[in-house]
Amino acid sequence: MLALCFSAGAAENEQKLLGDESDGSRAHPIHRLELFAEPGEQDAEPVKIDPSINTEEEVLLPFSARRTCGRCHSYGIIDKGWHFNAVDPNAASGRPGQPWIYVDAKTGTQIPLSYRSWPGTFKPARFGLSDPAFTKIFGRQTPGGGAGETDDEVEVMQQYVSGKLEINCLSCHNADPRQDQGSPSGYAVQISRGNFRWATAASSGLATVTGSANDMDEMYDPFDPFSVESAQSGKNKPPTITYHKNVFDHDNSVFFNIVREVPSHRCYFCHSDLYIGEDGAEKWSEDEDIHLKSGMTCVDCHRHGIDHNIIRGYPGEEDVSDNELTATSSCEGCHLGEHSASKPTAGRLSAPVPEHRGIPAVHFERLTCTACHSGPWPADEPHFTKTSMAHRLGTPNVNKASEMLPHIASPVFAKQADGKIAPHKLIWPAFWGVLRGDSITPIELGTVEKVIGEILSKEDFPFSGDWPELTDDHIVKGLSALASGGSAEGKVVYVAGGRLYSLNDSNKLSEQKDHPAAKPYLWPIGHDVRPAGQALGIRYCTDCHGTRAPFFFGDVNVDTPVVAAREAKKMIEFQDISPFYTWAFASSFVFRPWMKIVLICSCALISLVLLLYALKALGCVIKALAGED
Amino acid sequence: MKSKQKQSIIVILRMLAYLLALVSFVVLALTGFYPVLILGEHISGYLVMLHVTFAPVLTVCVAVLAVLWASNCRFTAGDWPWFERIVQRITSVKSVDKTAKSKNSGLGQKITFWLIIFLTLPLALSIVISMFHLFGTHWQELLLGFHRYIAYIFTVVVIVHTFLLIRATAIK
Repeated sequence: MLALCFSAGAAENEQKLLGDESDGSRAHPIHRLELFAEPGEQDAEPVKIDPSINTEEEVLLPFSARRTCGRCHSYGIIDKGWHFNAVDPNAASGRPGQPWIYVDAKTGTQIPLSYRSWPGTFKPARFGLSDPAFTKIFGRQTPGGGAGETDDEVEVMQQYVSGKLEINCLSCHNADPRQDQGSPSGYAVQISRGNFRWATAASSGLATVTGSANDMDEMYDPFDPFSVESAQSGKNKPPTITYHKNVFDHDNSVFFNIVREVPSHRCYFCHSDLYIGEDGAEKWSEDEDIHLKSGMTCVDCHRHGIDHNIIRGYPGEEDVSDNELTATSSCEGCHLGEHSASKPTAGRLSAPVPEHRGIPAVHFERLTCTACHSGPWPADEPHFTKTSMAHRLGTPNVNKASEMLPHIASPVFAKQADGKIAPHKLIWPAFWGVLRGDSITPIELGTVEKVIGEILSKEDFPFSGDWPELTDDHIVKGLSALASGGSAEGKVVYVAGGRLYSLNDSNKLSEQKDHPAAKPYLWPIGHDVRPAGQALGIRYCTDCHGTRAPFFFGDVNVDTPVVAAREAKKMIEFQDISPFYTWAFASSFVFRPWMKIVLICSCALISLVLLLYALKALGCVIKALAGED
Repeated sequence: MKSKQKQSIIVILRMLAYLLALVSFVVLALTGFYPVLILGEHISGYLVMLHVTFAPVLTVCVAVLAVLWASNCRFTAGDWPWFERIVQRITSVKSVDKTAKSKNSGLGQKITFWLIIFLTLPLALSIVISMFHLFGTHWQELLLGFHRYIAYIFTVVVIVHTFLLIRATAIK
């Protein structure tokens, strides 16, 4: 009987909801929905939103995407998707991707953080960032979920006030032009104010949210009308939602313009890149990805089902992803076809099958497609690059200066794990840490802010957001101060620009160049894809095989706040190739046209000799047949 | 006198061209076959640079040898008496050169010489053509495969030719 109950329960759990499976219609789905909010008590029924309630008796709550959308779409399946599963230790990390970069010029810090196990990144907790603290800083350019939804066992009451940052389905799927991710009252700002519970509603275009959960003390109860009313009369206002009444139907339903296929501009809020070149950085002067310009959208390639297991689109992803379209959705998958597929897959979505005329096949063994086709055209020095995630592009009060930290350089052509050279974005980590064996653990942010912040407090910090100019003296003071605090079991070090600074036994500064723990963090570039006519090698081999070609011999600046350590490395140092060989090989291209001429002339001469003697032989045969000899 | 001087210059030039061609051939065979047959890899690195450097030298030498040596390697009636007999039977023409039949004509050398000259063309052109923007990846791979197989045949022919040449010199 008990077993029967359990199996019935399991069957119920696995039951698909209305929107979990499509009936096959490609028509635009209509979403006229009642709104539901998170209840004040766990396990209670969701609260239906009625904008006309008496706010003296009840609190007008923000609607929750989990409670509203989750009525028809299984939230428990969706939250396993790529955009939400970073905190899940069992989720495959796949190829290294863009980290979250914590930057603080005042402490000389620029550190790549990630919940995923990408070598070179640090877990936020190791840096002293709790999940809610991380969410408050970086949640602005996430669609919620992940770290925003974990239970904070330390600051339980503060999390009760802020709520959890549930998955905001509307971040991607709301086609309404009022969807507000980045305005002064939009999603990003609400998260920075700690209004996690209100962020989805504030971004939806259906309501306005004022106040800040950050300003509320731990005793504030956002579900208690009396508490809310009391707080509203104070100096610091609590988070308060006001629904635009014209959006509600007669039965308090709301129309959402929900689309299955997410518009590309929604992706752009978190995935924009800005390459700062000699001509500045105006978007109008740059071409968009060729796929988008030819009419495609991001989700034409980056697809997923209800599990939101989105295709990242790199070769080899099929080994770690359950998405069955992974193999056919990479560059090769669409343009060349997937050879093991049971049906032809090349040319999907009108993808032209590339001919690559005159390109020796060895290039396809040594280079990724993106090496020639993606990112900006390589310059003598990689471009300063800004990204939405790193520089919070699209949110209020962004520092638009070119030098604004973090300093990301791209394209850097480097060898990746599969042995192929690919264009990457690169940052040089800079942080205070503790060396134990060969590994470094960053010192907690709070300690660094307190100790180093005080030491550097009298320095000049550029308005541009660039590094301050640190000297050996600053580093010695910083290391000494951190070591005297007894903050760590191990050697206190400072990592910057690929160097590891520490104090030796006589308290003198020693530095170790190219320490493995101080290596730069690189992640591959996928976009923007340039058309064939603008791919590397389109003009001549010397686009790359020139003795000064940026592909091999570009200068990658070693970015560091330590003035004396600022230098440049050649691109080839990231490619695991002999610089002399590459230079000699490139030099041979000077003589390549002559070699072709010599070979062709020699072949012509040989052909003439062969023709001459063949004709002579033919003459002999003719004579013999004619009986002359 | 002048004619003799001219002859000796041509002989020296031919000898030089032959030796240079032989050295180039050895370098090309080693750099070409070692990575593919021994290491199981594509030719790359310094080996490919050596290969590319010596390839035009060999081709030029073969062209020079074709000009200077072709006349000596003409097929004559005495090279293949069996063929002459077939022709005689068909045409009822009788051979005028009775002595040619018994003469040691070096037929093997001649055949391998002309094969070397002939094979040099596809061997060189299969790579030169691929350097122009004419063929896509599929044809590039075909041309590379073609180059490889022609190189195998070319190597065998050169070895046979050298062997026959050394044997003939020793007999003399």
